[in-house]
Amino acid sequence: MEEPCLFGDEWDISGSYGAEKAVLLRLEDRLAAYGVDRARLDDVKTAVAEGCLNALEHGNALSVERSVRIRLRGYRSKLVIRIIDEGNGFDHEARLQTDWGAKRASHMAGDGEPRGWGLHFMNALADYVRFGQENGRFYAELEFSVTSNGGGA
Amino acid sequence: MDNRFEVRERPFEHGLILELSGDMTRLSEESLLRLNVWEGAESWSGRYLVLNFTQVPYMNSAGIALLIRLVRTGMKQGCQTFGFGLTPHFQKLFRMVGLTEYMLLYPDEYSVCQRIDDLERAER
Repeated sequence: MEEPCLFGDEWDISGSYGAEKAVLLRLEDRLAAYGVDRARLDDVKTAVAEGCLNALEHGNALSVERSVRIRLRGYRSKLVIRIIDEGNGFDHEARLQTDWGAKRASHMAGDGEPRGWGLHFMNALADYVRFGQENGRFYAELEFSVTSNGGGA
Repeated sequence: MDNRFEVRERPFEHGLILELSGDMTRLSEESLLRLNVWEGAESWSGRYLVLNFTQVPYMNSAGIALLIRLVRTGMKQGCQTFGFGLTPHFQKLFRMVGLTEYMLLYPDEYSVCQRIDDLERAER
């Protein structure tokens, strides 16, 4: 039987780098009140920040005309956060197959731009990462197992 | 909400300390690229680069990419990079990208300086 959703929230952001911080502040308030411990909260915030940055930069091309919607759903044992942009998505299966060890080595040895760690952080810090389409818009969804004291949500 | 990134260079006997403050993101690039540290170790006469993270509340993957470039530049110049003041969470992120193999992390400035003094004594 599916777990009942205990609380939820939605936020919209748009524009450029830094827009994700507003979401992180709201997430922190929401989840700290729910009793999510500090270490897990940091994981959630980093993974969500990276998801938002990908959505703003790659999905929406940093356009102020386009928005990113962040939808939080809280359950007793998990959090599910969906990040929806207005782009066409990307080949996430191929990207997730990256040899991260080789990437680490090449970044330290090479001269190029050592970017591209956002997806790795999302995949490593969340328990599940899913991608899909919602009403024609692309989303990345992060799921985190949590223990909480079920505080005033 | 805007935690503007700033960096100040503080020379010490064996190298240079970078006092970092604010959010370390893609927007930090301009401030970092203005530093003398990119000119080469000769310009600041030292073998050690020390990064103070105690006033950095937020870092994302773009900010960490800048750090990789900085550490990489130091390595090519024959410098050893140290860092201190990082939360356990950011230490974890640094391990994930391999940065901890090239930047030695300590809890505070005093312990970094102690380690550098030991290294210098061992050299003599």
